[in-house]
Amino acid sequence: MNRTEYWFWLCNIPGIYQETLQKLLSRHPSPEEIFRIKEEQLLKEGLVNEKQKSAMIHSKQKLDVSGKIEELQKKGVRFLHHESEDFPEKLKQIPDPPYCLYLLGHLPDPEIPSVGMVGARACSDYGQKMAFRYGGVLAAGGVQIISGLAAGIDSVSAKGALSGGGKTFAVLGSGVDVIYPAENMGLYYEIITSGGGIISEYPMGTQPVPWQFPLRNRLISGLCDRLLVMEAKERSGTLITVRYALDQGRDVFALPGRVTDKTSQGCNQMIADGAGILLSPEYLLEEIYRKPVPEVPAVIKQQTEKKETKRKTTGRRKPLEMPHLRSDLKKIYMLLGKRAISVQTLIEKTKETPDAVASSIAELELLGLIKEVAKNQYVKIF
Amino acid sequence: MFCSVYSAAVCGVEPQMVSVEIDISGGLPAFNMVGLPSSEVREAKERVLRAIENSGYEIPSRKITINLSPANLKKTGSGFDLPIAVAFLSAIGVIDPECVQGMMLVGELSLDGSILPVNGILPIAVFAAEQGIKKLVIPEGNAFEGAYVPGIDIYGSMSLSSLVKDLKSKSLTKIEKADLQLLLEQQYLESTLDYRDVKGQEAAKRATMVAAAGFHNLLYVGPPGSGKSLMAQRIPSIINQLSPAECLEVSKIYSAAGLLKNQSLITERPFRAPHHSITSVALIGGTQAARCGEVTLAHKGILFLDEAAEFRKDTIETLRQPMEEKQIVINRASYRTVFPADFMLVMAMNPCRCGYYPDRSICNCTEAEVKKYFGKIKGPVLDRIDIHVAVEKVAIDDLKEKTKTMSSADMRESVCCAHEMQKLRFKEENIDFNSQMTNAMIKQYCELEKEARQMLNLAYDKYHLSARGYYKIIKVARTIADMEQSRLIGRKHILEAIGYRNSLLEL
Ligand SMILES: [Zn+2]
Repeated sequence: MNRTEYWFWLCNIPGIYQETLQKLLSRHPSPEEIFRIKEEQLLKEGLVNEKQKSAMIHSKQKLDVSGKIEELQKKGVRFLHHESEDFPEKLKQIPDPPYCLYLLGHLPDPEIPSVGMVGARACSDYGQKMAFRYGGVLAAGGVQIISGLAAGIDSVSAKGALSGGGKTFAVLGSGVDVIYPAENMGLYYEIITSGGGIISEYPMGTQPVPWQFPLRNRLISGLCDRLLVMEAKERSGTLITVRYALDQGRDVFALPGRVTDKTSQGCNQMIADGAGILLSPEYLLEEIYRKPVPEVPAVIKQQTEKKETKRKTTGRRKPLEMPHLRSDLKKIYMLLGKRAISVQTLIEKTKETPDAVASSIAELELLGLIKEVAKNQYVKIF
Repeated sequence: MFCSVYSAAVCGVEPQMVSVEIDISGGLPAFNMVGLPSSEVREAKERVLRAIENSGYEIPSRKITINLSPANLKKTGSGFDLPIAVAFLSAIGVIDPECVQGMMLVGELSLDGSILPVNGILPIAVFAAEQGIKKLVIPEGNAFEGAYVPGIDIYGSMSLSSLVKDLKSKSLTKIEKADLQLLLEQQYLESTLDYRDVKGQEAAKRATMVAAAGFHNLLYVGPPGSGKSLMAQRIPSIINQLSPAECLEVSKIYSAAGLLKNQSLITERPFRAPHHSITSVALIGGTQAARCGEVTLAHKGILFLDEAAEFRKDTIETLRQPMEEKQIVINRASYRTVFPADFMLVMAMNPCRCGYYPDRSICNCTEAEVKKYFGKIKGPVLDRIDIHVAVEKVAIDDLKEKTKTMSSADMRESVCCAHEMQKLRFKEENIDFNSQMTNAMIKQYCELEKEARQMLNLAYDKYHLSARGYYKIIKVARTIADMEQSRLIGRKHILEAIGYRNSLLEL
């Protein structure tokens, strides 16, 4: 067996999940080693229980690893383990990392900003509308949307992202071949065909079990740079996700709601506790591009630098399209965004003379690239 | 016995000659005043009689008739006390009538015989000199006004008794003439308001500079406390100082209105900022007493209307006539007068009712409300405003920061350069500034480069400009080009001017 096969074996033993894997791998660093060790020994070390011991013995004898992997490939599912080259670096760095991933479609591009969107399944009209809008505007702005494909906020966010023409990724609490809830079938395929991906750490065919959802949410927060909580009740699973996100060092934002709305109580409390407040997707978009995306670890940097040239030739969509402009106009155009910026601010930022800035602004407006929203205050037209 | 001296009545700002005639004849003792005196003038009778007595002269018990001619001219003010008293004293033989022959006198008497200052001495002195009067007696308190009027001997006097004494001994002392040019230069150096102190407003300062360069009317839009007033107050500091002739012209207005303060002429361009509760009459002038309004007090200077949206709409609209004609004609039953009113109008307003649009962290105004708010100043006067510009709320650290910013002197240089260009251009025309060009003049004097023309046409289509809006852009662009001494209007000039158009109602 090769390394991938050992990993596949270890991750596909019924009854052995995250907690046990973590114990095993902390004592014996490679799956191959675990494979070779006598089950009795593992039992003695207290790493597995009686039931898991027999499951291990059973899988060693009966599991056709290479056949299963071939089957995956036929279905278009990729199996990534902790030591795979493509395994997301971001997930390796979270406190409770997954050891393998099943993937349909693509993984989020670590170079492009990504935002996780979570919230209640039983959401309000307001929550739905806002999730759709945030998904749409952020995706249109080139941001990758990561959600959970559950009913409610998750699926609406993904739909929004697709409507914005962007890429969206769904992390499932079941096997990647189990579509739950079933009405999301259409959305599921649209995510894949639009260049996004379906991701899960659970073996194929795993049925959704309630306790897996919060756990799956640690991957949502793990894959994103910022986590948006659209709606949450005071005590809800969503808040567990928030705790993961904070442990992982992600920025957490919450959508404010009316204090009388049960569905917003969790969010409002988070804001009170210091979470970022979501005022508008445009605002957030601006913040995302102003602030550099969190540092990419060196390993990934090297890899992406190698890919750089290939990426350019394939004409990958840049986060924001830049019209071809004269350099003086470009300088100003780049500074503008969705939020109104005044001529005075532009003068200060460009260090150009007031008359030069004034005429450049007038020209950009005549070209239909920017719009005056209040006297001498401009926004970019997207 | 009969005697007459000259005096003058100021109606509005223009004085008119009045001759004060006195006749003392036999008959029942009486004191009559004829010749359309106003109630103030009628009261002169008592004041004059008491002052004469208290100065140590006796009033004969005879019939005394005083005539102020021409009879059809309404006379107001207290300046007739002195000529009446002097005519009286020469009629009764205290003063040799020879001494007061052809003399003009103006001044109010207090009951103890001292001579009190009156309004309007400066226009009277200028007028007297023009009329060929050789000698003018004015109150000592108004002496500084007399000092700057050439071509006439002016005497200042403290009291009736000292005046009589000096007349008798022919030892009146002339007020020494002063050099107006020198005064202006001194005062100019002392002006304290400077744009150097307004930081972080480069965009608004630039627009202000363009406005001053072409005498374009200006509108500032900005949140409360953003320094719109600071900006406006400093406009005089970037315009050429008043010429001696202008100084006299403006000082005459202030003299007539009794507003010459601190014993000095008006040496700086006026800056008038009436409150928004002002009435139409106080704004444009024309009360019963022929007082001038704020528009006239702003002559050759700036009329600043802060909180423009708070003014009564009909009050603002009264500005239309003076803005078009550079003067205001007042017709009342009792008088008709013309006040000069050549001012630059500067208005300031908040961007919305609460003042903070488009800062959504504070402003909750809906778009409709914002539009409605701008609608408040919509009208013919707004149409005459060429430059609209935003004034920012400056962050505190900007105020502290010692960033380099344009000073008034820097700005004045460009402004003066543009003024020179305009002087040359309009030497054959009856206007001084680009803002006053008619459409025919625009066609004659504003040549656009090809690219500039294209940009303007693009803007015309895109912003659905009116013909007036179209011409306004050209006028402003002409001024911007003048600031750079450019004969042709280039692309850059047109573009900048497009940015200053009234975009408030397009939003
Ligand atoms: Zn507002």
